Amino acid sequence: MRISTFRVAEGKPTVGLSIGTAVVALHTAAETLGDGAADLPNDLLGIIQAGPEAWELAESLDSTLSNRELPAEGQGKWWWQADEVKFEVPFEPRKNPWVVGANYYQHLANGYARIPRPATVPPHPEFFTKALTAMIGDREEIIHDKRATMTLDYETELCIVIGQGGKDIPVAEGHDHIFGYTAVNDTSARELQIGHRQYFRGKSLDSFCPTGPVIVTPKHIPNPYALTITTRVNGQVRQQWPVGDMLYKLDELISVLSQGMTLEPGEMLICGTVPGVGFEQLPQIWLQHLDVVETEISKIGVLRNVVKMRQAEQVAQ
Amino acid sequence: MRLCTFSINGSARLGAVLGDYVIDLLVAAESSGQDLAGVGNLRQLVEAGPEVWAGAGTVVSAVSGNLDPAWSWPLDEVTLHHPYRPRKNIVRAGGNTAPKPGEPEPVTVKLPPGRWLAGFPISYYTKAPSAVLDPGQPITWPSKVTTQVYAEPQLAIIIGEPVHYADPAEALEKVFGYAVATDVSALDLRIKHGQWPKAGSLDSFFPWGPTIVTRDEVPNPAALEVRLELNGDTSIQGSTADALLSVGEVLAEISTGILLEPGDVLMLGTPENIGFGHSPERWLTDGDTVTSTIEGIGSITNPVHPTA
Repeated sequence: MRISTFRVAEGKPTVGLSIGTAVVALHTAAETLGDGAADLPNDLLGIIQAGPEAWELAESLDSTLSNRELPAEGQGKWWWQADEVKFEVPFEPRKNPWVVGANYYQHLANGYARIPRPATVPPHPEFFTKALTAMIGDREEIIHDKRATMTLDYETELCIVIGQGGKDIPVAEGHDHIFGYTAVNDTSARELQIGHRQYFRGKSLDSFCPTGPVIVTPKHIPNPYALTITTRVNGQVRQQWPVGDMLYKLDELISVLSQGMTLEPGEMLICGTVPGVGFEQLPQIWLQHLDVVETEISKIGVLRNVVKMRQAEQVAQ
Repeated sequence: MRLCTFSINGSARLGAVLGDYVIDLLVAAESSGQDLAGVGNLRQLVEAGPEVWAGAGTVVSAVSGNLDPAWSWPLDEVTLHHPYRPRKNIVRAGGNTAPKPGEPEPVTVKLPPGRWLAGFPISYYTKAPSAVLDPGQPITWPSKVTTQVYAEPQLAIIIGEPVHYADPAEALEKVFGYAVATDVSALDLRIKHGQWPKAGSLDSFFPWGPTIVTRDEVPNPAALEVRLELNGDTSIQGSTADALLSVGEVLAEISTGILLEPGDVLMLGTPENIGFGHSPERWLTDGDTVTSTIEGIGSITNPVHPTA
């Protein structure tokens, strides 16, 4: 299934299933059809925390809906065309998202060429975190506040959402802990990232974590390594690279991260960016006021976020 | 106020410490006709804002001379827990120690001017909230994952009101209170993973509390003695005055671009390193007892029991 949290106009956040070009309100649809998914928790994190039986109910409703035409009388009541809804942040996790640094060799090598330092492949995966307050949904603004940064950059990455929690997970079982996949733009303030050495602040400015638009379960993405990561800025392709080129694969990342530390249902693990970020360019290019950033992963979808400079009068308030 | 989370007969309660006694704040509030706006636990109280805090203060002063055994117990008869599990990672200021006489100035990364700002002395990183640990419970880790675990005493800063692009004085006024924390981390995992959050996020690596002392009782957070005792011997001793950036300055820097919200927890940094660069290196080992103490705030003690 392709599960999300969406909103119609000023309505309240609603759990959705994407069926073809439509988005279906999961609970209302299930009630209308007398489907068992009607009893699922009302929010997406709740559904993820409820475990495999709950996910199976949602998958089953998804199959039911996919195998029939959506009734016209339901349109505008429990289903909409995707362009009529706004995809929100899928859910807010209960701890900061984890992010893997330097997980694609060419990104690493290009970046090191600008520091300059010799490119070295990290002998183990590098993990940092992003603040939860940075998470924004589709069509929300990436804020550029000059008081914090002048070097705004984009990084499209595949994000794993953990389903079943666990600790000391063997590599061979890593995949069993994946609830689904989504797209994240690991937006970065480069002078803060490098100047503070630890990446947290430079990666965590408000609005620096566009996430979504939907979470796709492994049933619909049996091979995540076949996905393609793309970033466009004002329509121009800046990043385009196969997910499968990653140095540390998903199973290994989950296993290593869980050593001595319990991974919890709904935890997010963002798996690293590919070549083509602004930092790597010569000269380096930074995101500017009104740039349209498109964060895309094939089979997951596209996030469109416009960069907005905070105006002087807003800053004064 | 000195607030805590405690239990007696199994159920967790929101408590206020009065001398050698702890009261169930919610039951006491009810019996004195105070409405605490539906607050059910300490995290919710911190998030509830100044009016509700004032209500809690009224309850505490109203009942302090007149403890009712229906909602008060001697401290040594109850179990004290960590105050609460924060909603997000705890932010730690790293390298926040002013150089001692004769020591070099803190390293800053010099980058080409015009393109980069100069380096910042403080490195901010985080600790997962799943690492929270009660006082008295064992700090533990799998020995096959790390063999270089160390502990540092920390002033924990609890945010009470939103902090955003604040100056240091303004930021300080948004603090709800302070607590003691023991920042447990693993040097080999820091080195292994390059970035530091995983090393400090193993389960049980964040003993904190047990009490949160409200800001009004800590007039100067920049002059508190900080100490770590390992098996009764003082192994770190310093003061929050040793910090390169004060509480207000840390909050001002981090809130430049990052909204800090009520209930968020930060750690100021250690006055002195142990383990890392300490000679001889002394890693925590099975059977150790670690106590962090901050003058005027309190102390927390945990045994150490790694697993295979």
